[in-house]
Amino acid sequence: MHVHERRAARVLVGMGGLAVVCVASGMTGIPRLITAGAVLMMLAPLTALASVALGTLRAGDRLAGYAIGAILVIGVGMLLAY
Amino acid sequence: MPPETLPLFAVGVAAGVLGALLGVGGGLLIVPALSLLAGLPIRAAIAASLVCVCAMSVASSVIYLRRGRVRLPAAVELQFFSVLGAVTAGLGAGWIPGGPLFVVFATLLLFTAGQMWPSGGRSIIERLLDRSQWSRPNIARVAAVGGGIVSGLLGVGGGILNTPVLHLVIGLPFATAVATSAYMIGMTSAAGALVYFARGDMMTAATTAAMLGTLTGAVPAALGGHRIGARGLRMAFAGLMVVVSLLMLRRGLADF
Repeated sequence: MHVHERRAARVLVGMGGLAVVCVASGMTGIPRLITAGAVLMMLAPLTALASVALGTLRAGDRLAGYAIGAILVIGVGMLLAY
Repeated sequence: MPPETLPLFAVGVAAGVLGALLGVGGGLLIVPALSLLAGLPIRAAIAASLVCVCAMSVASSVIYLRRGRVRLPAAVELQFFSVLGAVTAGLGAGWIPGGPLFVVFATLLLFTAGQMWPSGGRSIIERLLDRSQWSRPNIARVAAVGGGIVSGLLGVGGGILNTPVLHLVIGLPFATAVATSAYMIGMTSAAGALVYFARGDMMTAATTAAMLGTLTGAVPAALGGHRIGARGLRMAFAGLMVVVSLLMLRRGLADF
């Protein structure tokens, strides 16, 4: 497995796992944690993309341009939709 | 526990299995189910559906990334062009007629479904691509922009467009195309879900029931999906494309 794939998988495992823990805790005790879990789940793919962008930028990979471009375009799209 | 929790969980499981096996979001399944079963307003149903797609993408991508089945360079590059197309569509939505576009896209989808159906020889699309002056990556970039425009205008998920482009145009094996598409749609749906969340359209209890169901369905499907075989998955994908295209055709003809 390539270093960028490994990094993206780590971010997804971390944030996805935390999201599930938050939701499970929210369902048994603290309702606010349910919202936190849902937000973490939404942020996970974008954080993974950001980590790929950072890694490729450090490595001077051509992919960095597309990764940063994708983040910027997604940001613009979110602003336009909001 | 509210009475609709179990049906929502079950819908989530079905969407998770579908998404992890075919690389599609499953919004087609989740949105009507959430609005009919839980009585959610359509915006809340779409918001919940987007969170479910995120969950499916996160769960299956972890497994696919670790197994080396996600082609990350292709995913990030095509994602850039796809989102570019979607944003362009968002800006130009007022000027582009929806009805005819639905009909044209539904026809194109039906044709692609025929190409996705497993057969012995090379498909028409593959033969056309071989004769083309353009390189396959360039065609894939243009197709991604086109797919993004269609996705932005018609509200169809990216997966139904990503998988054929990755498989037929770039030439990735079907399982790799599915895994790469599952990773890609997470990014797009996350952006959409956050917008709905910021607008206050998210109904958290119903969303989390469906989200947990999606996770429950996606993990075993991603772990064991390779046992089904590419032929069976391609047939299922082609069938799904026919269903989507017929729904789009009906909506397009109603908009004329």
